[in-house]
Amino acid sequence: MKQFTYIVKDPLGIHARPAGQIVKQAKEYPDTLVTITKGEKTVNATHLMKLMSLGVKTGDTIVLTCEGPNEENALEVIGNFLCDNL
Amino acid sequence: MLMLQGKGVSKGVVKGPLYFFGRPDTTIVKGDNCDAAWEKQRLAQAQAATIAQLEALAAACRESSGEEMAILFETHAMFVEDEDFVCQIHEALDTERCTAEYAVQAAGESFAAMFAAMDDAYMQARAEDIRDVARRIVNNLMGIVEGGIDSEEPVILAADDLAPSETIQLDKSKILGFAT
Repeated sequence: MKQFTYIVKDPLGIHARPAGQIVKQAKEYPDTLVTITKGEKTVNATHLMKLMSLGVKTGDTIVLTCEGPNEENALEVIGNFLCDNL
Repeated sequence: MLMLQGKGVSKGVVKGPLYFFGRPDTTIVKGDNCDAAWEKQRLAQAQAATIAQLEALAAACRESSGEEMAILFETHAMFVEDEDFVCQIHEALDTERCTAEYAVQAAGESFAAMFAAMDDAYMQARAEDIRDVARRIVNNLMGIVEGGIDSEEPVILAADDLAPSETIQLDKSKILGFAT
């Protein structure tokens, strides 16, 4: 299992656009469980509605967790996405 | 063969397929004895049609209005296939034996309400997005094309009545005549 902790900088937080892109990327790794955690809540990163319902705002700390055969790859790609876009 | 008689108002005779003008605020039937498997099949077809329409809108936006709108339409397309959304619809179909239209509208309202309840203006606005997507799926289930004529060949447009504003929006190249 690999984890990456990130503080969201985008003023809009995880809005529809990046949420959709995170979902798209997470779906590229069907054999790896990708989740996003905010506080007590953890959601599957391939579930768009759930991801958006996390209501991640600017300044929030989230944890990206990847578990499975492709966890390193997934963490790097999605982690980079978070850094570049959020 | 079904033969209907009416009063001719304008001169001329045409022959062509009959197309019923559908308005967005059509009544949804709940049903309580539907075949869940059949409703799921109808739903799958409507989902595919909805996604195709949204992706076409995204592509058109990409050319004219730019990337931002295009990606929003693509996100709408993702709502259509969202696991939790679809799961809730399927559950309703299985337990309530209702129509796909009813199940989609109910799930749409439920998810929209969830977003509307969030303490974030942006998320609250997303409630409208969800309702819009649900409405599009229902329109596809009912075979309604909002304001447009979903036909390859020109048709005879049938409607209870047509307001001038509605007639203006119609694609005249697709109309052979009117039956109102």
